[in-house]
Amino acid sequence: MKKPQLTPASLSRRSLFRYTLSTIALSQLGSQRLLTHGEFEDRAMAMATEPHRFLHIFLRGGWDSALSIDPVIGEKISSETYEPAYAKEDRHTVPGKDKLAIGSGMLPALSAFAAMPTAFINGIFVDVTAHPLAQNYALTGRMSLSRTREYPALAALMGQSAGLFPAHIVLGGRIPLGETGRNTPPLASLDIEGMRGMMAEPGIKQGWPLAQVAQLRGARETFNKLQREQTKEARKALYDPWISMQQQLNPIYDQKLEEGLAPDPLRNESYGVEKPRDNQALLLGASQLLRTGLSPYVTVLLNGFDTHSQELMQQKPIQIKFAQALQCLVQDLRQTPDPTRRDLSLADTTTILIGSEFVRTPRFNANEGTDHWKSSSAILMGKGVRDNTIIGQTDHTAAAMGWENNRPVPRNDSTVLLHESIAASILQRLGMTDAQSTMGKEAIHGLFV
Amino acid sequence: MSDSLCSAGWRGPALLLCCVPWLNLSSLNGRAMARTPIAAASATPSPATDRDQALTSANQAFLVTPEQFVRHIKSQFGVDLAQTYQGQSSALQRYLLPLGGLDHDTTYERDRNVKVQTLLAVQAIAWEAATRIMEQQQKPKLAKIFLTSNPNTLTTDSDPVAWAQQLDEIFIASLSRLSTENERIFFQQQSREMIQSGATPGQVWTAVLGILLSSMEFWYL
Repeated sequence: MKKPQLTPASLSRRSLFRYTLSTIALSQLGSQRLLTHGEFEDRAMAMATEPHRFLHIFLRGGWDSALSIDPVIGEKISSETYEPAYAKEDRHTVPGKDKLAIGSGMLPALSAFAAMPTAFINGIFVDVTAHPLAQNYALTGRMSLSRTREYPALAALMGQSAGLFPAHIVLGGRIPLGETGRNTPPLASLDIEGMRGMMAEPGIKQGWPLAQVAQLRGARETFNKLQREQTKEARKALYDPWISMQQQLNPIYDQKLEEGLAPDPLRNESYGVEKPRDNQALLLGASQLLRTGLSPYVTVLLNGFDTHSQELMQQKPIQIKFAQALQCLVQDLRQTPDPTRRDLSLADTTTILIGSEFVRTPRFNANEGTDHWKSSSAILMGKGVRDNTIIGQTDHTAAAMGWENNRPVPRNDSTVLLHESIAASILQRLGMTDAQSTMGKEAIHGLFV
Repeated sequence: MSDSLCSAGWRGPALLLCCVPWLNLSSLNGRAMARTPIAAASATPSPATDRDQALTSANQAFLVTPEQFVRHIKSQFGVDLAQTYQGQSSALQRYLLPLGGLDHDTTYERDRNVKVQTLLAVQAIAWEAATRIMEQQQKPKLAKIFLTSNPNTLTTDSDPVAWAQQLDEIFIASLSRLSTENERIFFQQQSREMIQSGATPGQVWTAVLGILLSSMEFWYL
């Protein structure tokens, strides 16, 4: 039999060159540039009619999942991998949600998990356990070792993709911004008081009468115009954007958003606020920010979870305080109408992601504390989340397993559960497929309804 | 609100001051550090025909970084905005301005183009600086730098000469120049109007300083 002769595909060098160039060019473009102005308008309209907000609560330092959403139960109890002290800790199933079991650190948030659609994600494989790298990875959903190719955090990506102003809000610290730092920078502050300071027109916080505040506003604008008039001709153009943007501040000041961000002693007490910038105060601030409707995308960074000594004396109290504040936050969201859809509560329109860069080692170290472990856990609550869902699993050796067809399987390159997949799932649920496509991973099946 | 709000901003050429090797940064305050090379760069102005050319030829407008701002306020007014104030964090840190700079780990490039987001923080920082500076004037033990006349009593009508001198002092400290006649007239009018509407002289001087510190001339070098 005569062997068929193989002929090369009819691809000219010119077309090959063109395809290669276009592939390179497209891979370099940010998601924002791939959208038309009309698509941005559609998204703004969708946000007004069917708002979908996103609150990213990030626990810096690496939280202990064995005390929270991945407790030592089943065969883990008899496993020698885990510290025996974990087996003695309280464990509870969330009322009405048979799949969701929590450890002693999260007990105060039991009713919060019961009240909102909740999914736990365990066994997210994390290859790096150095704080800065792992934090950036968990916040952005993408791993980068390069500062010049830094990726934006999830909320920053959403803000850029939605084309809103302000694009997103950051409370409690810095997050990776990537190109959004220049294109759509966040409104950011270390604490809610700083955010209030930005929203308050000069004079307001000092208690000046409104007439004087208005006079001051007029004087600021007139002075810049006066300076423009008396400057050299070549420099006049420099003043125009400044003057224009100063006028754009007026409608922001007119909204009196600082009133919604003012300290409230009663709520401080219920959240358990002890200091102006502790975790509980930041969670209260996040709730206040969502209530103002300033931006639908909020990131709040909490601290203190990197407990290398005295695990049960340090990690557990921090988790309990966090869980108490989370309980209040959920209660607040359920009782607060959405700023754009008064018929819905903020709990109906907000998806909450609670996560950390990694979890802790299952065994205590010499200081009775724990170190960094190659796995991560997260909680997803609120709008769109498939209730009473567990995604991912750690085995009896605390190692992250793979996940396929809604069940645990041996981990390999195709079944491994990664931050990329979680980020892609959230972006897909928010309708931001352009941003989702930058993740390089498929969304997780079964996480959202 | 439209997305044009956040995309607005001019695109000027970047001048990386930290790349000037002959400049001893530690011996200069922020404003002097920034002005020195710029003055040299703008020594030969060329006529502008369009906006881009105007920006290129002017070559003088670069947003002050938070560090420069804080150094300038400290050297000129003796108020250290990098320190905590009334239990709050420093103005330098609190707003997490992504302007770039030595203390910023989230931006790999200095962004010297102002945006609405940064302007909100700029206004807040400038106003906080103005109120703190004027507060310090009332506490002789704390004040390191004094204005010549008491800002709590001096008005444009009570002593016009001293008032004009004080205005020039504040101009020199904030903008490194004397006030022009138009600016003097402008601030006279504003001061009178504010006094008539019930403001105290101290509030008027705070307003004057706040306006200067939040002006384009101050924040753009």
